[in-house]
Amino acid sequence: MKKIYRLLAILMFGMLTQATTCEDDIPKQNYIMNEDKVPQEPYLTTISSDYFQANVARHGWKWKGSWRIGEDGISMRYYATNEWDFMPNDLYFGTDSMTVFLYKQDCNLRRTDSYTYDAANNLIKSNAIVYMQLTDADSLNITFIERLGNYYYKSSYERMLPYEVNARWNGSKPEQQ
Amino acid sequence: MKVRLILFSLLSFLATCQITGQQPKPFVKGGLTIGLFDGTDASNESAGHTGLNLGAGIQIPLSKSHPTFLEPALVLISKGNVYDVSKAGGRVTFNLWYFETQLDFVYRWKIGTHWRIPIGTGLYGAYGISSKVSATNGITWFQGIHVGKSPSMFDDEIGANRWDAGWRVCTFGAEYRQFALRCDFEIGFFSQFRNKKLYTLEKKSQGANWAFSLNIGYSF
Repeated sequence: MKKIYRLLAILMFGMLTQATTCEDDIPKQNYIMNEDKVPQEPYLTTISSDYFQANVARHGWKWKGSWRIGEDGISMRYYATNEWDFMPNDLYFGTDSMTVFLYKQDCNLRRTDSYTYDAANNLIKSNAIVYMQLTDADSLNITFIERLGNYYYKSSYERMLPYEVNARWNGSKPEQQ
Repeated sequence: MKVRLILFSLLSFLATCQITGQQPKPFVKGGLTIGLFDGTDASNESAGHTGLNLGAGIQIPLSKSHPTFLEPALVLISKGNVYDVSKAGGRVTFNLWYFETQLDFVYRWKIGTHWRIPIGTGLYGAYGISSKVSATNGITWFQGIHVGKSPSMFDDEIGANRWDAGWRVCTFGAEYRQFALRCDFEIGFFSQFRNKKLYTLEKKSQGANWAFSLNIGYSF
């Protein structure tokens, strides 16, 4: 009998540890902090403007998840759903302008501005965003290092279907109004 | 201790020459080398880097009755690797130049009067003297390496080791009189990289130099 109780205790402890290790299963990564304390992708590889225009531009991108990057460059907390202190955005890239779909003050808003893609550093430069560095991209998924609020995040997005883009556009209003 | 070993080896070789009564023959050789780094875990395909090699050595006969030779040589050789960066539409080339000492043990099959087929194996030790990183199509970053600045491969950013050593797995070819056509295949014993930029280094051999050389030679 004692052996059975011991076994049960071990099993229960094991289940408890499994329940609390979901975030630990997500691979952590060290980022290089530059002199402005902006995290840089440690394995950054150039993505050309042509590739960006062919695979990223003219598509909408739906937020999937983000890892918050600590000030020491180590990725910390993982977000897969919106939480009170984290409001991700969906994105649309045109050929020369981008739209950020955001939720603010209980409203679905959109912010549109021109952008340029700096292929020398994979940077997307626009007044619609604070900081965005493309770290990986293919025809279905993209990842960025971006600034949201007070922190930097490694965020992944998946491509939206055209009707999803239309729904986001029609369901939001310009931020200025 | 090491100096004594080297001196002993040299004296042994010279003594062997005296025993066989045959004169060592100097030779020169040069040709193309296709280099690779062992294992590619970068998310980009790699292709061999084509470089050059040029050197000189000496054929030391080891036996009167059997055509076996010891062939030390000093060679200037270019090794490296080329990576295709598909998302940038270009390539990144890592080029390393080494002074390499080669030591081959070769058996020469005599065919007819003037033809010989040499086949052998051996070891090499090398010291890196120069490197070059280049990229096409405006590629500035590769695996976190700022290739746009053409950094030295021996600096910490890429972390290539200057020293290299390995096995000359096989060397074979054809010889006609004093002319030779030879193929060599080398594998490094250990990784050329001391950091994990290009390779995760899960296996110690990841990033080791591989080289295939095609040479023409002339012995005097």
